[in-house]
Amino acid sequence: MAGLTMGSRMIYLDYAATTPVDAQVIELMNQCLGEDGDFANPSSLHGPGLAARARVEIARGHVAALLGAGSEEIVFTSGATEADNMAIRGGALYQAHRGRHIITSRSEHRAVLDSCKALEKEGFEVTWLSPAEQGRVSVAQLREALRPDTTLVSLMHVNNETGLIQDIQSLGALCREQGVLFHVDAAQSAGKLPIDLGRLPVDLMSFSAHKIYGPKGIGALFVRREPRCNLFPVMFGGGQEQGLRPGTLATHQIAGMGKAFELAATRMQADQARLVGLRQRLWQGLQKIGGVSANGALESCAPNILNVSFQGVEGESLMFGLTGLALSSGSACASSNREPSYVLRALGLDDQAAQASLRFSLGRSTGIEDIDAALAMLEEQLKRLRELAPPWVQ
Amino acid sequence: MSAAASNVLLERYFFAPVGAGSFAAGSPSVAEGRAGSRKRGVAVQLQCQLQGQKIKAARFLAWGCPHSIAAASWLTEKLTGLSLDEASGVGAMQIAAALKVPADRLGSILVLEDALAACLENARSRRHVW
Repeated sequence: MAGLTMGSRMIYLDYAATTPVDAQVIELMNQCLGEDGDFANPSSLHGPGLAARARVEIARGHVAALLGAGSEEIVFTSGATEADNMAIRGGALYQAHRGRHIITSRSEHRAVLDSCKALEKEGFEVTWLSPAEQGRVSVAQLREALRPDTTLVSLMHVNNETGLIQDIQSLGALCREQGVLFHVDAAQSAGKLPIDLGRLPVDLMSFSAHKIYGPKGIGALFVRREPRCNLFPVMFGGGQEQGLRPGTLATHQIAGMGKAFELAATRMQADQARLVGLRQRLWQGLQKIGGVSANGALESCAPNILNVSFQGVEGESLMFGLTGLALSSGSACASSNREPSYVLRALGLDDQAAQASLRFSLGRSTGIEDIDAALAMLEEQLKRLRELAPPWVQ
Repeated sequence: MSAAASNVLLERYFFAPVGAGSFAAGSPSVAEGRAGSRKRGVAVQLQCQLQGQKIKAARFLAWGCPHSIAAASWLTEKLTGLSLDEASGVGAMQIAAALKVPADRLGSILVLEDALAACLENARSRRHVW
């Protein structure tokens, strides 16, 4: 399979940051844009409006089906960040009469961290769990942090930097037992790992389309109906999406997300089996080069992500030297910032080790030849930069 | 990364650094200066091979951001052929201006300046030079 190249030499290994939009998704989106397509406002009651509404509801069904949820439990948003804000802020405010204590972890996505910080400024108390071994939050740790006034716990399913899979089944069961809302950011896991919300004790779950070959600018929040999970809206306007997310529905975006989720349902198993093999090849190649350590045990991480620390090199120079590779030194959302990854620091890495870490994330277009070419580039740059480093600096 | 983008000189000295490496250890004609540390994010070793009061050749080893590596390389080229007094006049601002180093990376260049100062001090302490 030919890899995704950008220009003549670039190899794209940043699929956890975003993915290209699948051709079938683009085709469907185009059917919702032009004069001859379903461009009308899905809230309009005339024929074109009803046709657009039908597109929206078909998409909602595909999203729900991938997740084992009911269509009525899916609320479309502008992306996972908005869904996180809606879940945390909306959930905390709705439950404020019961208590004002929230629990999350230090290695969450910024959308969660900053939502919790904003609530802190408004008088809520937040317990920031420090992930233990490999970035995991244990049930015992969560149990210890729970208080009578705790109303919401927010933890991500798959860490966006390390790929670590959190045991949301056990953590959610504890929340359910204690009557505490459990929100999960699943931006990195939806369409990549099986999720069955019919069985998982999760009340709120955030999703994004662009991580699984859908368009940017669209996501969703799962809001459980039974037991009923209530939220205060955080935006106000036209009453769309059950009054939780006002604004004219973006039919083309929603249809694109639906198609992406539909495709993921059919491809997930085969995709993941292939990615496990490619990631193993990458990791074995890196180990042959030497001076590397994986930030997270491979068997505990999503199959498309490998986060590696490189000894003997400075992180920015390594990234700068890898001109033929498109990858991230951490979350893409934060990689314009020179600060070392707060996620890796939370895992116990010092600033330099965190900075000299790269996240390889593989996708549908990644092939064996991409992995081998990436390894060759890495070997060359690592050798060069390690030889340039003064021996007394290590 | 953005600060390092579209800078031709930076790329030239980073990807094909002149003066990379070190002279044989213990040579009486070689002065050496070190500055920085892993904790500081930049570490530089600068060596000057002396011929009388002139710098015959210079070598560097560097661990740090692309600017620090490129600047150390540029400096070895600049120092070659200078007298020790002339070399004393080369400072962080001149290096930064030559390579268009952005303000937020000046700290790395100051470490390089410290390595140069240490190297020249080491050179002057060698009696055979004087």
